[in-house]
Amino acid sequence: MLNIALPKGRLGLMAYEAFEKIGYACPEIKENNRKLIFVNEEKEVRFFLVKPSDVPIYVENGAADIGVAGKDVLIENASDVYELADMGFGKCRMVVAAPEDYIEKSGSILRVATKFPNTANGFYASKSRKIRIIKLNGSIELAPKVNLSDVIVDIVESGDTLKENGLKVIETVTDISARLVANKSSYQFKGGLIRNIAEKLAKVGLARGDGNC
Amino acid sequence: MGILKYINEDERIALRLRELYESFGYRKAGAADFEEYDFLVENRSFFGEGNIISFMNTDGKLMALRPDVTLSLIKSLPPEDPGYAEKLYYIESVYRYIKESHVYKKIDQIGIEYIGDSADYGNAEVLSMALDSLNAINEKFVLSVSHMGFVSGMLSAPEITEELRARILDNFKSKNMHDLSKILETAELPQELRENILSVFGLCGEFVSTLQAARKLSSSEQAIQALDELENIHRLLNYAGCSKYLPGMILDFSIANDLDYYNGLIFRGYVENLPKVLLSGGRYDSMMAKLGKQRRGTGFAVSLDELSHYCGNQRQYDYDILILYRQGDNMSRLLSLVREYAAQGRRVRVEDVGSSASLPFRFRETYRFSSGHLIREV
Repeated sequence: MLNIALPKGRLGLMAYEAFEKIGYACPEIKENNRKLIFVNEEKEVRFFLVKPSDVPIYVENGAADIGVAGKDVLIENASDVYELADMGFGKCRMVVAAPEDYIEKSGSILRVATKFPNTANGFYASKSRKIRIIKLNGSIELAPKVNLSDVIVDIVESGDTLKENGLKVIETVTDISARLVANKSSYQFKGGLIRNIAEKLAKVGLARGDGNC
Repeated sequence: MGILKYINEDERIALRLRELYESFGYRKAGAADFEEYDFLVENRSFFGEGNIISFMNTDGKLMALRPDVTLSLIKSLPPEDPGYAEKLYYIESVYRYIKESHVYKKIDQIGIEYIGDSADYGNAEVLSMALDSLNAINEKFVLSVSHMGFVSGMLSAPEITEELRARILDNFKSKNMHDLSKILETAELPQELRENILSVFGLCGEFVSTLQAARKLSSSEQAIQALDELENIHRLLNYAGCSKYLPGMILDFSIANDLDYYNGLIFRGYVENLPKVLLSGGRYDSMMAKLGKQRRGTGFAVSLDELSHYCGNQRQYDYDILILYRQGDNMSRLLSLVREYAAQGRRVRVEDVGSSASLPFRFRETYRFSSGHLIREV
């Protein structure tokens, strides 16, 4: 039995559809019910639906052999897993954004509001810029408006939310998309099957090409 | 067997490993619990950032709980080569900072160190013992082997900056081909070099054929030397009676060092149904040199924490037999039955029938005691 962790919500549904395309169907997932585990006995796969940021944790600890997680979550958790394929959907960017009239003052300590403290720390450490992280759990765009921070590090798709709040993108931290990850030990013992799935999913991902999150 | 029957499976395996190491002529070594803080800071490149629990000793000296056993063992060796190999094993704890949970943790390890100059024999002996160790835990194991010399040799082109090299290795470690190829494209490396790096990336699998594929790619002397060393080890093991293990030993050049710890042979051992690395080891000549020792060293450690986690998952029963009785039944007959089972070396538990629903244990067999007889419950 191969255990697969999928993120709850829209990303998970897209991930499931990719699995369906390569022959691992379990249509029950699409029904809107409260179940969290779905099994296809014939194909010997079991899907779990978990909180998106928990997918790498299930995989790293072996509760799931493979899983689908956003690159943002993988960078933030610094998960010790194999990252085997770019699924080609859930595309967006992790950016630094600031108010329209923002001017960089290089001498001062930069206040950075974000949901992704490890990512932001790593990004600024690579530029040797002194910062102070302000960890928030939502409505990040508000922080610079009320002088809680100078800039924010957050995920953007179209940039509309930023614009509506009078913010602009200053820098791109990294491009984001959904990735197929695998447990390092499972890969040793179910490597053939996992590699096969990764190759097929990568092909499906390339064929999509579009797919914003 | 005797009394050993009652120790936990993980303790039993640890004893078996100890027996194995003793029989190969390794002596048990003890390392001091505390190290001088300054010594650890000087050698930080071997165990990473944020890893030291420090405290003030009674004489005002800053001390620390050791984050690594090998470092402490090597430190206590004489600097000059005594002309013979030092073979040591240890069962010790190390103290490390765990990133995920933001806490310090005591981690128990059992491991060996081969310190001497016979590179070929030393490497092969240590690897054969790593294979024996994994096999003692679970016959379904994988030992993946790499060589830092090969990886460094392949990435030694002058176009590859220190920073780019680190990013390439990061993606090697996570087998991330898609991001790696993007990075190589942006770095504007020559086409041939780019293709070579991507091909090294794919080198993972059966030992001999992967080695042959690696030969076709390598031109640098360092890389060729590394492959010769790997080939030699494989041949030695094959003729030394380890051939039955060799299907479980694969080459995987995506294994790379996080730190400066290993500089030659490097390996990781996995067993089926354990999600994390159980055994890790390699050759640490540069650490020997940094500590001023004129010898070479190879070793590995098995994580006893992972081992106990693994054995806990495997254990099916807490007791062999549960006997449920009613108050007022023939107690002397019951006791004599229990004594009989106990004499056979079985683990028996006797409980009042009323308590059976709430017992937090698992039993291989359950019996009901009624009018002097045992009736098996299914």
